[in-house]
Amino acid sequence: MSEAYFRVESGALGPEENFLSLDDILMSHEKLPVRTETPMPRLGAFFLERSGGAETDHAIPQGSKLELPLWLTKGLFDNKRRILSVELPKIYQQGWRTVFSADANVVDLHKLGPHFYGFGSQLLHFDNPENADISQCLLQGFEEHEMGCLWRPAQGRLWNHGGCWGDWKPKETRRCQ
Amino acid sequence: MFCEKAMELVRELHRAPEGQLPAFNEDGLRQVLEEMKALYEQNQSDVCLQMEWFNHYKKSLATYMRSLGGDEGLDITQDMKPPKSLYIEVRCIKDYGEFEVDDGTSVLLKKNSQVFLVLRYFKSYEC
Repeated sequence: MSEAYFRVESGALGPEENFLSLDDILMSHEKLPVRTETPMPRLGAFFLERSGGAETDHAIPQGSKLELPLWLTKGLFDNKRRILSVELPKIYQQGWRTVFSADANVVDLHKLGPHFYGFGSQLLHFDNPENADISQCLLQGFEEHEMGCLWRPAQGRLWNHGGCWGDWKPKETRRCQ
Repeated sequence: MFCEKAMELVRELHRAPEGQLPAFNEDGLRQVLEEMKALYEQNQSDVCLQMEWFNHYKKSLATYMRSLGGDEGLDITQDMKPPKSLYIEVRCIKDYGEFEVDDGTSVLLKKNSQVFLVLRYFKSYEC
């Protein structure tokens, strides 16, 4: 046995992230903007500047804008939006999508967010009207990046990209998932 | 907030070279377990409150149901949806004989026969 343990691979491009995947855990901890659709008692303990204070039992009022990690947002979201409504982070909005589809390789994904594709795929859970466009954009961008991976082996930026694929190593023939 | 200490542990493992485990971070793990325990206890106390509320609700509902429909009370949880039609098809479980309806007509209720009757005559029934 040459290795102490084997990493669990990311499932973020599929329907759900893998529970034991370190990449997915880190990805799922990234925050996204939400709006509360119902008062939330006691959540104010984690958001002291928003909280109603101890008298209201640290309630967060309805209509507050917060940033919550993806895992928590998924847990609280329902398709009737009674608890939360989710906003798209800027880099997945129309403006950025246009830039991205013009030429995916121009955009520095690592700066935008280290888990661009995985996080973007999981965003589709929130029934946004722009979902069709987002998934199209992600797919296209990924194809271009993968092509770039094959045809531009020397470019430092792509290899250091990291992202949701883990580290892309030039020597490995293993394809990104 | 939001398990920052736990995330630190995950990042530590993620940084480790391929196939190797970093040294066991006893201190970090202990802090995380304490945080988990505190959250669990808070959750428990919330659940207790909900149970109290629910028991109170159950009692109120039972009292109300008992007060309806004469001696036996009325089980209003039987039908959660409004009826689609005025009539209901009914099977008699024992012989009753003649049953006179509002408009003067009568219906013979014999064991195992099936008839259509106006909904409001029934408190409980077999469909």
